Amino acid sequence: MGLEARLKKRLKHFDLDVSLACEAGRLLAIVGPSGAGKTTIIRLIAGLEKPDEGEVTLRGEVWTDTAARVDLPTRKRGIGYVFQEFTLFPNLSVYKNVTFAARDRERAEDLLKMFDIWSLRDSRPHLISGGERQRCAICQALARDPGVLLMDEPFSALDALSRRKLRDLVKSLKGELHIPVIHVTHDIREALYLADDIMPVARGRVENKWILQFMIARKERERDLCRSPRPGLEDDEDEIELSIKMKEYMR
Amino acid sequence: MDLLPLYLSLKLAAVSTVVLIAAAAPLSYFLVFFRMPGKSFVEALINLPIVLPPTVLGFYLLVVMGPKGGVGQAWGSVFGSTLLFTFTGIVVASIVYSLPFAVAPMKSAFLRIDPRLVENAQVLGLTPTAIFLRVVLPNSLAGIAASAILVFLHTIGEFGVILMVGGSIPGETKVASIAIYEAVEALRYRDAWLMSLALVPVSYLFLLLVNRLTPEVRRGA
Repeated sequence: MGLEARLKKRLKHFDLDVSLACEAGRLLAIVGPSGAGKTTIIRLIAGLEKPDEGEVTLRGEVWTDTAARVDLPTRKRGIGYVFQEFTLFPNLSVYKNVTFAARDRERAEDLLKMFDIWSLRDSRPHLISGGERQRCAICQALARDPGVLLMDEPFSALDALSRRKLRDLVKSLKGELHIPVIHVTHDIREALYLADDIMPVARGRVENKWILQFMIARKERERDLCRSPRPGLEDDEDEIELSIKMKEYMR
Repeated sequence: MDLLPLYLSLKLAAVSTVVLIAAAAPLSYFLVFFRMPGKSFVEALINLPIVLPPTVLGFYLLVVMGPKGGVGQAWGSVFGSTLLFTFTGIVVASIVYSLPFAVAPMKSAFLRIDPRLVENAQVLGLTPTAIFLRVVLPNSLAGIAASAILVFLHTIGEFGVILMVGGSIPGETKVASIAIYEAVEALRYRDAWLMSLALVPVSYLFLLLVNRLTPEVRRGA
């Protein structure tokens, strides 16, 4: 059993009402347009926001149960959370950021080496690049040996090259983590590349129709772009893999 | 010139600053990061000394800290002495009088901390106390320093409240501002001039330092 959640919350423009499950060792991508309620879902799972109604359990341990008035504080949930924007502690070096809440210092040092930021360990966050900062943030989240990893558009503030590198690193790492990983993104390509399961969300609901519409719109846009130079698109190999996955998903 | 009032002023300012910073930091943290009913009433109460005439505040403190007042009686039963007209008494009065000057810059420094840093600390398993000590304080040092300097200067300049609660006992409660007032009353202008001159450069230099430490002021420059 991994992470299970059923969440209802009244938001400003719509009501959020979703259920999800993610097994250990798998990556669930919550994908949808901006303002769909994706970030709210993982904030509710983390306990950073309270649902109006619902339950969150990890391996049978109840974190939230509104009916039974159970609400485990965020700090006791043992989660790793990578925020969309950089949230490293500016007064600490990269090393101290990663070991800040680490249960095992050796594990933290291994992560620094694995994520190729060992040489930056004495630098302050503002002196390193966006990609390096986000690698450091992932190390920080993993260093406390979390029971679940939640990532909120962790690559959205990065340039294309850094995004690609970090995406590959996460993909290679996810099998070794043996915990549920939930990845929020608005980028369907990223979701298809990384995820074992995809949960399309629109206006607070799981909305499969939306992903089909998105794919059609994207195909149309690509067709238009093919007529002109293709700024921003990545290499063909990636495109081929994406197309295969799209077909698989649509089947 | 008698240097004892100057020494007393500096001692009063130093003690009040240390006590106020230690008290105002957790209070400001609570006001900024926690929700509670009636918070605005607490904030208005903290800010009351800014708008009240010092003599009014001094009068109330005189009543409360006197032998028939709640604080005075409690103090007497614990320590067996009175609070009024003692150095400890004027420290207590200074703390009440300068509290808003300690809380305001600290609150503003805490509000400048990205809330996601605090959320990240929560996610990383820190308790509210650990967040205060390991995240909020280290990332607000400039604001805390500005707060300390403002309190220090404000205490040095206190007159009305000190006079009401402490009177003018040499070596005990007769601080520089009261000594200057008495010198003028006794037409000892030379003493008043010298003591005033001693306070001006100290205050000016400390205010310059506050400006350097306060981003809003720097941006406006």
